[in-house]
Amino acid sequence: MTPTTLPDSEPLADKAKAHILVVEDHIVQRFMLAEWLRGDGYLVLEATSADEATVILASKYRVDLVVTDIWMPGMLDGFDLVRYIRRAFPRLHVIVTSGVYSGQDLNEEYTTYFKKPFDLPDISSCIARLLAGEVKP
Amino acid sequence: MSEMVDTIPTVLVVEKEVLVRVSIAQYLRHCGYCVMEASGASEALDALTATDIRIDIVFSEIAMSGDMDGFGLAQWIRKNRPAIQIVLAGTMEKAAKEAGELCEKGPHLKKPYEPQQVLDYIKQLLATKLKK
Repeated sequence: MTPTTLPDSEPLADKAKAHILVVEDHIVQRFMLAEWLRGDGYLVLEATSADEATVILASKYRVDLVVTDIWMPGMLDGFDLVRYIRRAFPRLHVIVTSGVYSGQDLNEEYTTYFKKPFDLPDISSCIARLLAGEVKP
Repeated sequence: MSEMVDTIPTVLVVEKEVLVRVSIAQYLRHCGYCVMEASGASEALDALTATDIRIDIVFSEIAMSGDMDGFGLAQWIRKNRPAIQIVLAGTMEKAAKEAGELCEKGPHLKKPYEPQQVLDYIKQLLATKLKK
């Protein structure tokens, strides 16, 4: 097997059907969700905070959808991240997850609220619908 | 997923710089490993003390902020989880080289691409970040 060349603009992208950024400060929860989505065939990038997420989003890494927690340590929280994304990437889908916040302020087309705890197959279905261009669930 | 985690070696990559961590983690995944990512020793310890996660290898940078650096993390692992293999890398160059060596011993047996390409890409990412 000959090593494949790493393309300049889409490194490590290979055959993944879409690229998802998971932003969650709890390592086990992040790992479980990220591995589940990898099992669905997505290329999943992980950020341990909203601050890290902005670094990934501003880099050459492609991101098609973001799943983010709200309350995270660092300079930015999940709300700040959503605001950043709306300014920089207005049409990027964001799924906001929280166990305490009810999603009442998220009244715009590309932001979806998902209550924690959630079943992994349910978030898979939600992601598939959003990426397929269907309306918010 | 638990079945997959049970059969494929899991590497815990501990690195504070997100662009370096993501690139190394993606490379190791392409080599066939299951990879967890931690931004520091504290998060790594959360994973290492989680009862339902099996970790076979810890791949860590040395210099980390907080109470524990890579050496401290390695000491903790030797004392509490002695079966775990530890790889410490002090520089990006060493990290890419060590990742390449892990890759050669990994589930896919052959490297999907050279670690130098990963290193070059990390440098591009960091250079772009510095310009912004």
